[in-house]
Amino acid sequence: MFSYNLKLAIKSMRRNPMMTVLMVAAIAVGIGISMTTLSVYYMMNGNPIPEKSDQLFAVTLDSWSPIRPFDVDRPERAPHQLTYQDAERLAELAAGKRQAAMFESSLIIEPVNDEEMPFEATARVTTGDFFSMFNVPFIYGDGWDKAAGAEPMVVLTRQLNERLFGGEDSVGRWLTMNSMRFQVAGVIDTWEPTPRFYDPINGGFREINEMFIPFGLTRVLELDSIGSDWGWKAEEITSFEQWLNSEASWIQYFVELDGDRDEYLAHLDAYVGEQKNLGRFERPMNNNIYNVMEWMDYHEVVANDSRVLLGLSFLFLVVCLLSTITLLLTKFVGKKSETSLRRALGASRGIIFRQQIVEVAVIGFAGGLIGLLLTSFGLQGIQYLYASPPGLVSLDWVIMSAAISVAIISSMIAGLYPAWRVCQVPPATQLKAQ
Amino acid sequence: MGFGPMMSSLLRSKTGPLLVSLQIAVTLAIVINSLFIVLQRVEKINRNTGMDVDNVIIAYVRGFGEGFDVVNSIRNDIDLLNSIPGVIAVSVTNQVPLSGSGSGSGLRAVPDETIDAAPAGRYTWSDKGLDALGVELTRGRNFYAEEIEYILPEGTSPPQDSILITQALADELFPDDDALGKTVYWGSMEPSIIVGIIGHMHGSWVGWDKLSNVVIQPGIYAYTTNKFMIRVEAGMRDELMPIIEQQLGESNRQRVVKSVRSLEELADRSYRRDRGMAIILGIVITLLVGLTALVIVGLSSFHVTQRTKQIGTRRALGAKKRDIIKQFVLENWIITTAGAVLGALLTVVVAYWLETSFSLPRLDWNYLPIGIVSLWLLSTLAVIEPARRAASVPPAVATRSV
Amino acid sequence: MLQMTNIQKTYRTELVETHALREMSLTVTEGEFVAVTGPSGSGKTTFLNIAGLLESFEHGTFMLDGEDVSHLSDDDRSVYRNQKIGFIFQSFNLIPDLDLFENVDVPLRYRRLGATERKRRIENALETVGLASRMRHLPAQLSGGQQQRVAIARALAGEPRMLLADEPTGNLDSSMAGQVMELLEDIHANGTTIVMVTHDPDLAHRADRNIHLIDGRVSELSMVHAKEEILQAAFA
Repeated sequence: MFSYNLKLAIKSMRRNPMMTVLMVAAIAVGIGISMTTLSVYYMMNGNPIPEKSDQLFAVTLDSWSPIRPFDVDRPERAPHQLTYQDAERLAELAAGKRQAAMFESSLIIEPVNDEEMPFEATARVTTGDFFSMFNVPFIYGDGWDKAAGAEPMVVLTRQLNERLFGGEDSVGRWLTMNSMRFQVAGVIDTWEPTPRFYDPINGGFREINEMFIPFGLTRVLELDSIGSDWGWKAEEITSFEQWLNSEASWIQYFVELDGDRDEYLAHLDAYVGEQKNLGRFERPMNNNIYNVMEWMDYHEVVANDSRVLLGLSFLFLVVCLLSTITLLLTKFVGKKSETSLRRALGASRGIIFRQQIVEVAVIGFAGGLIGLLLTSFGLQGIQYLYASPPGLVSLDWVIMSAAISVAIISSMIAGLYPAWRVCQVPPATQLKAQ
Repeated sequence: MGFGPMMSSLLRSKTGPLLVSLQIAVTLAIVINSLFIVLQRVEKINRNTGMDVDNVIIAYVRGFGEGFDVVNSIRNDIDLLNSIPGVIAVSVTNQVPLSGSGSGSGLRAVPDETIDAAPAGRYTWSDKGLDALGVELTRGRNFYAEEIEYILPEGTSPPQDSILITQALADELFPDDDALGKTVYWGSMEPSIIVGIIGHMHGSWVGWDKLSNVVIQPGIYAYTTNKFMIRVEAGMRDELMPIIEQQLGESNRQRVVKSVRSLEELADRSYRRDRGMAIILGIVITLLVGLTALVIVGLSSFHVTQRTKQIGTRRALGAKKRDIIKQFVLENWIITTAGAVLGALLTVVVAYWLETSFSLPRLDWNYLPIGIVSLWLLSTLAVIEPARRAASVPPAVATRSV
Repeated sequence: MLQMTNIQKTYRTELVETHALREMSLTVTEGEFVAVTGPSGSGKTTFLNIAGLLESFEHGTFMLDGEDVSHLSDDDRSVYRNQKIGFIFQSFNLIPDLDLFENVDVPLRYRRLGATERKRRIENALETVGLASRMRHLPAQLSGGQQQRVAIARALAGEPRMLLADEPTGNLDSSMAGQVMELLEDIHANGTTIVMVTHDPDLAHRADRNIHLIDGRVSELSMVHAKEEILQAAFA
C-alpha cells in the first residue's frame, strides 16, 4: 500500500510541476536558513568539555579599586583575571585538585637551520596541571609537572611540530626561543575546544595557541601578555618585577575540584583575608568561582547577533510553512474531481487522508534534502564571512538528521489541514459540470 | 465589481486568502526589522573614521636576540621607510586604531579620584603621528619634535605633559568650556595639558560607544615589538606593501617582520561581524520577499485557472477586460491590506522582542509606513500578470459545456 | 431586432481549419420567440456566440437592434452585451461564492447604476421568477430548476432587448424543465424577443419559429414546422 501511495504521490507532484517546485523550494529554503543558524548557535553554545565541565572552575578575586567596582554596569562582578602575585600564590597553595595559572604570550622561534627566517609564534604560558585538567591529548611525550615549573620546556602543537620537525617524534629535541634553549617535552594532537573556554576574554573563537611553556618562566624571560590587562591603581612601574607585583589583572586562573565548591571558596576567602591584612583587597570580600558553562555565559560567548539570527530564522521557517499550506490548499481544489471519483469507487476518508499525508511527506523529504544542500552552502558562507577556522562548524550526522526530520515533520503538520479538507469532498457529486 | 460582493465572496472561502494575509503579515514583520538592522550596520561600517584609511599601511616588527638595540633599530627603520618613494609620513605607535587592539585610560578634569573619569583610547605617537594617519588637527598645535622622546621599558618614563584629544573627549571633559589649554589628570593624578584638539577620530574598538574618545601622548615606545604607521600617496598602497615588507626584512636580520597590513584590512576585520550580519540578513530578506511574491503569483494564477468559467460568464454579462483586472487587483488589495494591518502589529511585537531580549536598538518607526507601501507595491506587481491572463479569458468560455 | 447576412466564421488551429458557419443569414424580428435547432456540429453554439457578441467573425454583417455591430471593439461589445442581451446558459453559470441577490447584481454592477436602482431591479427580477424569499441563499442550496430561474432573473434585471438562451433546460429534469419553459413563455408574452438554441424538437415546437442549421448554414427544412403550426392554428 505504501508503494502505491508513493507512486500516486509522485504522479500528483508531476502533474503540476511549478506548484511542486515552489513547495519544495519553500521548505528547502526554510530548512537551509534555520539549520545554518541553528548549527552556528549550537557550535557556539555547545559544551566544549562535557566530561568535566562541572569540575572545572574559573576563579575571580575582587582586588579592584575601593572607590568604584570593576564593572560599573554590573557592580557585583570582580575583575575576570587575577594579578600575577595572587595567581602565583594560589598556585603554590594548591588548594584544589588541580590548578592552572596562565596567560597568552608570543616568542620568537629561531630557525633550526640557517635558511629559514625566525618567526613569531603564540604560546600559552601555564602551570603544568593544564594538560591533565583539560584532557589535552598527547601524541608524543607529556607535559611537565610542578617540580619542573621553571625549566625551559615546551609542548608543541601538531602543526608547529610539523613546521619545525617535519612531524616526527621530537621529544628531547632542542629549540631556541627568545635566545633561550628549550627542550621539547611533548607534542599534542589537534585540540580545538570550541569555544575556547579557558580564555574567552581574548576571543572565544580564536585559533589555539601554537605551543605551551611553563608559567615559572615568566620572570626569567620577562614574558609579556599579548592578551588583555586591566589596572585601577596608579603605580610606578619601571621594571618587569614591579609589573609582576602590581595590581594589574592579567592572569587567567582555573581550578579543578572534585568536591565542595564552598570549601574552595572558603579557602579563597581565607587567602584574601590574609591579603587584606597586608593592605590589599580594599573592596568588600567578593570572590567567586564559575564552572565552564557558567563562565561562558558570564562572557556572553554566544554572540548576540547569532541569537538574533536564530530567532529571525525560525520566524522565516514559519513563513515557509505558511507558503506550503497555502500552496497545498490551492492544489487540493484542483484535485476535487479525482478525489470524489476515488471516493465513489470505494476509498474511505482515511485512505484519502493517508494518501495526502504521504504526498506531503515526500515533498517534505525532497525539501529536506535540498535544504541540507543549502545548509552546507550556508555554513560555508558563514565561515567565509566570519573568517573562522575551517571545520569549525561542519555538517555532521546530528545536523543532517535534524534537517530531514524537521523538514518531514513540519511539512506533515502543514499538510494536516489541507489533507483534512480534501477528505471532506463527497463522493462523485462533484463530477457534474458546474 | 463592487467592494461589498467581493468581501462576502472572500469571506465565504476565506482560508486561502487568510493564509496569504498571514504570510504577508509575518513577512512584513521580519523584513522591516531585518532591514533596520542591516541599515544600522551599514551605517556603522561607513562611519567617518577621521583617518585616511585607504592609504595607511601598518608594519608589525619584532626584534630578538641578545643585545638588540631597540632605539637604533627604530631610527633605522624610520629612515628606511621615509626613503621609499611614495611614503608621505611614518610614525611608531603603541596601538593601531580600528584594529581591535588598543589601550584605554580615564581622564578627569579635576584631580579627584571619586568622580568618574572620561574613558578614552590612548595612543602614543611622534610628531609625525597625525600625518601618518591623515588625522586633522582642528585647533591648537601638534607636538614639537623636541617633545618626542623614546620611552624605554626599564626606567622612568619621560614627561609627557602635552596631549592631543578629540573634540568628543573635550566635550565630555569640559561640557561648558573650551578644552584647549586646560589641564587634565590621569588615573595616577598626573597632569597633562591639552595643546591640540582633533576634530574627529576613531579609536581601536569599533563596537565601543566611546569610540570617538581619543587621547594622544607624545613619545616613541622603544619596545622590541613595534608597530609603524606609514601613510603613502593615493593609489600607491598596494604596490608599496610588498616593497616595504621586503626592505624592512632585508635591512635587519635580527628583527622579524611579523606582518605588513593595510589599515583598511584591519578595519574590515573589526567590522567583520557587522558586515556578516548585514549580508546574512540581506539574503534572508531577499528570499522572504521572493517567496511571498511567488506564493501570491501562484495563488492568483491558480484562481485564474479555477475561475475560468466564472470569468467567461462575467465577460458574457458585460464585464470589460479592465473590469476583470480590477476585480483581481482589488481582491489582492484586500488581502494585502489585511496582511499589512496584522503585519504592522506583528512588526511592533517583533521590534519589542528584539529590543528587550537582544538589547538591539529600538526600531525607527518611519520604517513601518515605508515597509507597508513597498510590500503593497510588490503585492500588486505580483498579481498583475495573473490578472492580465484572467482578462484575456474569452467570453465564449461561458457557453462551453464542460 | 437581429439580422445576420452571410456570416462566415472559421476556426483555425495549426492542423485543421473548421468552417463553423458558412454564409449564414437569418433575421429575427422584435417580439419573436425563435428556436435554433440542428445536429451537433451544425454551428449552433457558434451562432449563439456570434449572436451574443461573444465572438467575432470574418465575413458578413450583423445588425442588432438597428445598429451595425459587425466590427465593434472588445470594450464596445462588452457594453452591448451588458445592455442589450440577457444570457441564459445551459449550466446556469451562477457564481458559487455569491448569494442570489449578489448573483443577479453582477451585470448591473458593470453598468454603474445607483444602489437603490439596482436593488429595485434585483428584487423585481427575483420576484418575477418567484425566488425573492431566498435572496440571501447560496446557489448550492437551490435545486437545478431554481438555479436556472435565478439565471433568468439575472438576465432580466438588465432590461435587455433580447434574451439569448443556450439549451436552457438541458441540465434539468422534465418537471423543472416545464417550469422554466413556462417562465420563458410568460416573458415572451410580455413582449421580449427570445432566441433559444436547442436540440430538443419538443422544446423547439413551443417557439413561434424554428430555424434549422446544418453544416453552418440555415437549412430549407426550417420553415416547414412553422408553416405546419400556422396551418394547424388556422384550422383549430
